Amino acid sequence: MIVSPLHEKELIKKAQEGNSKAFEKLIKNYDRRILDMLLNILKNEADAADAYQNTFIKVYKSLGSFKGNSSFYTWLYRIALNTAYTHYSKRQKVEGVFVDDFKDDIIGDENASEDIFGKIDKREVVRREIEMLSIQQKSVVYMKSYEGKKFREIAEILSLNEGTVKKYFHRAVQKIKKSLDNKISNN
Amino acid sequence: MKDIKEKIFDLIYDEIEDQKERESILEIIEKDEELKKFYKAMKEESESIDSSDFNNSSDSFLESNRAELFNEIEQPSTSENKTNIVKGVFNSKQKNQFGIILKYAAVVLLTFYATMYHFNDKIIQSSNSNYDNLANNYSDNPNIQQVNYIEGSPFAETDRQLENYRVDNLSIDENGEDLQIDFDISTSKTIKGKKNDPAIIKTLKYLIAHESNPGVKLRTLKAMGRSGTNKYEESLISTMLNDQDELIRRRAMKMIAKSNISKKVIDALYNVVLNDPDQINRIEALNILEEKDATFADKALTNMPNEDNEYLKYKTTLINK
Repeated sequence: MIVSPLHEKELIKKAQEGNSKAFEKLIKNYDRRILDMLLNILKNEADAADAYQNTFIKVYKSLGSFKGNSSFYTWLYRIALNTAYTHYSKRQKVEGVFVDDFKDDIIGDENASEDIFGKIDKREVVRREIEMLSIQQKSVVYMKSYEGKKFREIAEILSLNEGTVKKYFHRAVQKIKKSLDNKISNN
Repeated sequence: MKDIKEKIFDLIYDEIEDQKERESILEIIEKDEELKKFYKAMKEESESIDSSDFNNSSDSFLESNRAELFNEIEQPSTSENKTNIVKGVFNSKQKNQFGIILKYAAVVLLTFYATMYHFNDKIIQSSNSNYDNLANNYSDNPNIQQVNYIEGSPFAETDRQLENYRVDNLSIDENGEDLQIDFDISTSKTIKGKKNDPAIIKTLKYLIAHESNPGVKLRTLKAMGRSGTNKYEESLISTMLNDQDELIRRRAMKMIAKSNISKKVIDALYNVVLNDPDQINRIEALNILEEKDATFADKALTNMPNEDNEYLKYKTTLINK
């Protein structure tokens, strides 16, 4: 279901007036993309589900403050991403030791990205490298390479300037490439 | 130099939409050895991220989250009351456990309700007995046994019937071995199987030829790319030559360039260089041809006497020198 921009405006107005059906329609227009993003950033369904609930409850409560300065989707996406960041940092505080141990395991397991014939599985190397990125870098890589967003859109969502976003992205890509090259040369 | 390097970065990551600007950057690169190296290195970097793999949330996961959210929004007072009752009766540890149980029960009930609502047809589980039944039903195709039918079997029906289904989602599992294609939720049709199962191949071929949703088409191409088989060659050639969407044509072309290139593919690339209405596709096709079969690249360039595209015109002059 794709809602036209005009219809979206109407839905926002109705939802701001407390019409829960209008809110539901509005949310259903975007929530799959938001849930996909949360799932990929947070990497497990339980965390993604929590962040999904927190995001949309926040959106529901603060819809009245939405002035339309950015598009609704950009506003929504920003809330979702900030919720994901908060969720992630809370989890790291609670499970810091565990997360660090887990990271060491990933780094230490040199052969995990090879198949049974010792051939490099590029996707696996890339997946693991993305896993190791900071959450900010990970979200930029996701928005650019999976969602195909322009850097200026990503910059708007993250409230950063475009140059910074490009740097984030480029550093992440360089890191992935370097790791791939290392894997291939060691093989 | 810094400025042009930034532009090359933008070019590689599809930030520049203006065709003329893209062409002029490519022309500048072509004339400068250092820039050529830079462009090549950047391109390789960008290709490394092509292997990135992201997950899609399943319909049932989305629906259960929606149900929980809308329930929460519609009945905030009830849930607050429940919380108060819980606060009064249990200590914090018990309260947490009770909260988790309540939450879990709610999700299970709502998921069950949503599933029953959407899927009225009998769900065929992948148990041995049902699997045998299905195998018997389609015993004329021995390979069909590799497919784990969840519900329905649209690909076993005729292509004409397949037209009646809209694809909602096509997901590829993490290791790239299994594919699941969810058809319009109201039809309760889902297929799941190994990437190289003949039935899956047939469905992907159908989708790339007939699907109207470009997102599904792109995922179909991705799935085809993962298969590592040359069984899609005809489909990919047809897509790169005939699809209405230039991006789909381009993706099909890039996909085919990664496999062992046959004469048929070379001919098709040659055709794209000469005839594709999209200028980027023409240039991309030429780049691939130059890499795979330079003779055909030269042949294409000598066959465009009245070329308008500045970049291709420039390449033609190099050939004629």
